[in-house]
Amino acid sequence: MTITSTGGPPQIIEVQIPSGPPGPQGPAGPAGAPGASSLTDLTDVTGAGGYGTSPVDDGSSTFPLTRVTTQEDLEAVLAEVASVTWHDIGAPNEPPFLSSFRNIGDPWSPCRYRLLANSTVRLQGTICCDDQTISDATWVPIFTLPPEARPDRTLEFSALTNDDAFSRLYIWDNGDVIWGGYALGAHAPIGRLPLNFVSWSTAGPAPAITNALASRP
Amino acid sequence: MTITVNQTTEPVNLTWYQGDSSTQTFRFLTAPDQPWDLTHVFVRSTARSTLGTSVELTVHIDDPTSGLVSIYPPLAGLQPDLYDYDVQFNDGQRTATWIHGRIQVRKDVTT
Repeated sequence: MTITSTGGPPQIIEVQIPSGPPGPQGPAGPAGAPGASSLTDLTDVTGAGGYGTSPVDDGSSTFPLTRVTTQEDLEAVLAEVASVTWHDIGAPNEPPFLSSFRNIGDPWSPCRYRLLANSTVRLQGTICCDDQTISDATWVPIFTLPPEARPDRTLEFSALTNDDAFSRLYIWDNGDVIWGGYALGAHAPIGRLPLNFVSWSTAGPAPAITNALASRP
Repeated sequence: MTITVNQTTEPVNLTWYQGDSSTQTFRFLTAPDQPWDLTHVFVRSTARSTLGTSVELTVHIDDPTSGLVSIYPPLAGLQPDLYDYDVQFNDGQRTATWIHGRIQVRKDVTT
């Protein structure tokens, strides 16, 4: 029902409020039970409480303890992403050169790789081979990558060699980095083999990430 | 005319004419023939035009114990338009809107 009053002589609309007007506020009720003083006092919170954890509603009326991401956590992630850690081939505790390959030396970068936080490997450096019989060879290992740096499938590349030829280069899924023989140009001993263009995705997640996840409390 | 209201009641629509000394009086009861004592109750009323302009309506309580509340257009009058309005009560503890509706202000012919 809509009540309408149209002009005319003034008329009074009586308004009855069935429940009466709002009354004064009642007295304060009794004090409630004391609140929880620790996470473990909260009956609807599950998990082991502690520094850096917080209860979060999981949608089922329970509140699992969930780790809080702090500013320090974020800074650690950024530092990990920005860090540069090289693995020099032939250095102690690193993969050795095979088949008489070695670094060509200054001023050129040594042969080395690094694992990026996004599960990508970057390889760089310029190498040569002291084995003069390599000219007509076709399957010569240069070094072997550790498992965390290997691709999930075998990859093939071509590499400028001796500044005037191209040779085949393979990154095998078992970690072998293979010089595959000449594809174009003169077959000559390898006096210069730059590897600065080679990059690939690893088979598994980057250790920087898995280690960080494993170290979480 | 007596209406029983709650906060979801039907609107009370008013028709006023531009330039008239329009007014509307409400008598608030808490039970039949028992006026609501509006002593210490603060009453406000605002109207909003179709363009969203808010206008404070004049509220007058002649005798608080009688429960009579009258609303008037502002001194400057209301331009012809369709206004939403309500009447709000505050007793110092809480706020309640017991009357709402529309005011149609018609353009007058006799100036």
